[in-house]
Amino acid sequence: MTEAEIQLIALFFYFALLDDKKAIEASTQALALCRARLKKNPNLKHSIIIVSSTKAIWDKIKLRVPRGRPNTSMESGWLIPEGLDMGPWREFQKNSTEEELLSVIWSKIMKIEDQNISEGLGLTPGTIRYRLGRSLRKLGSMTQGIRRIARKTQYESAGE
Amino acid sequence: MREKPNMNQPENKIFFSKKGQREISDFVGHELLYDYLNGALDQERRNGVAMHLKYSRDAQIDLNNIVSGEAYSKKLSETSVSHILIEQLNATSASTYLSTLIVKTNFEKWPSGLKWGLEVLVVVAGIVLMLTIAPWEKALNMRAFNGPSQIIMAEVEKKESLNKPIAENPQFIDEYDKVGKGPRDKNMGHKTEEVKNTISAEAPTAPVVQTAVIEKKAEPLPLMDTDKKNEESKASETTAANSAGFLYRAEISITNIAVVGPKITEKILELGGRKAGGVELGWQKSASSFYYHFTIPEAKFQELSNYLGTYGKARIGKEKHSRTMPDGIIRLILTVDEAKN
Repeated sequence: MTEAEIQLIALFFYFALLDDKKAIEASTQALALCRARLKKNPNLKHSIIIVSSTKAIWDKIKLRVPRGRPNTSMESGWLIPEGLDMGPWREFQKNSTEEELLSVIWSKIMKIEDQNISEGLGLTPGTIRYRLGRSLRKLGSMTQGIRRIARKTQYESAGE
Repeated sequence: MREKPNMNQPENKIFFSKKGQREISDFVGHELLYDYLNGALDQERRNGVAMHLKYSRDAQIDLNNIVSGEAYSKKLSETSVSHILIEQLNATSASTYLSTLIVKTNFEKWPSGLKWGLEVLVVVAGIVLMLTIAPWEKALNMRAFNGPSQIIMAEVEKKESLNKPIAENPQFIDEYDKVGKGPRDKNMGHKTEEVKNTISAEAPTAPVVQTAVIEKKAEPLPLMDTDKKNEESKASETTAANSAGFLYRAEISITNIAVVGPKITEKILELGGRKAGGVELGWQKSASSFYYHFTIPEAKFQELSNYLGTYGKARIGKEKHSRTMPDGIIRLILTVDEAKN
């Protein structure tokens, strides 16, 4: 597994769990699973294996991790871009369905092709696109809401 | 018979949408927005969604949301992971629990003596654990029970019951008393009781028959003539089948015992008789008395009685005995004395 692939796995669990320690633990397990599956099927695409392995580990740990209770710190090892507001994502992570959450992470954050996601999950590409459309609409509405609140705050401070 | 619908008939006409005139419902228009944005639709669909967007305010808002969502997720994708964390993940996932433990405890840096000592301790603990847990007793017991000794025990029991009809010293038990003493010539009924007492007295030396002999019910044995013997023997046969076991006792007084004694022995052997008890068949107890303790096929008993009848009157008695003989075999104690003139 390359460093980029390890990074992808780490990103998946960071954004899915929003908990540093549990993300490290889950990433370790997923990485080991990926390696084991790669040994069995060396010809399989890495991105497909990453999707299936992260899903397997997610299914294993999701009940132990309550959503909507972020537990992250700046020193954990994940470097968030400057000026990025994590509020919409926290909101999205808390309120979206599992399918919506994971499809956005795989497709938009990890940038895995829809075809590979669908193969990794055993679904049709149409299903993946449908889920993505819904999840992006939800995520966008959350970012819009926060923007509106931000604008309102700006106007109020300017009026004073 | 059902008619196939004819498309040309005006009443059965099915209306398909014409090219370029397909209208898109609100639901489909909304769900196709993501594909519309990514350019995944064909030209016809693209026009349809564009028309829908033109007139639907909700669709315009949803499209904005999708654009915002994509922009936001693009920013999120710029998140990176530090090299330290990547290395940590790489090392942890590649190692097993044991290797992790070794790394964490700095096992490699330990002094070699301590390492060797620990390894020896682990090996010894493993061996002790195996020896403790393994069911040795069970294994040994199984071997003992499955071995041939069990079969031998069964054979020993069989031998005891068949070949030792009287415990240890038959001449002492069956002769009742020394020659010339005791009341056996006078009354057989009294004799039976005496025999019982004698056997009981000797019982401790013969544990096999001990309890049975003590419980034996004394039964008076009437004297019988050889004439009545047949009827009695028939009756006894029927009772013998129902009871536990019997011992036949016979006495006969003959003249010239020194000659006749060996002849009787030969006859018994000829009839299939076999020695029972501790002494030889036709044991000469004294100069005027011979003792025969033997088993004989029941079918030959009558013939033996007839043979003995040629020499004199035989008194034959039958008493209950704890030892059960095999079917068709009877046990007999015969005493031959010199007739007194």
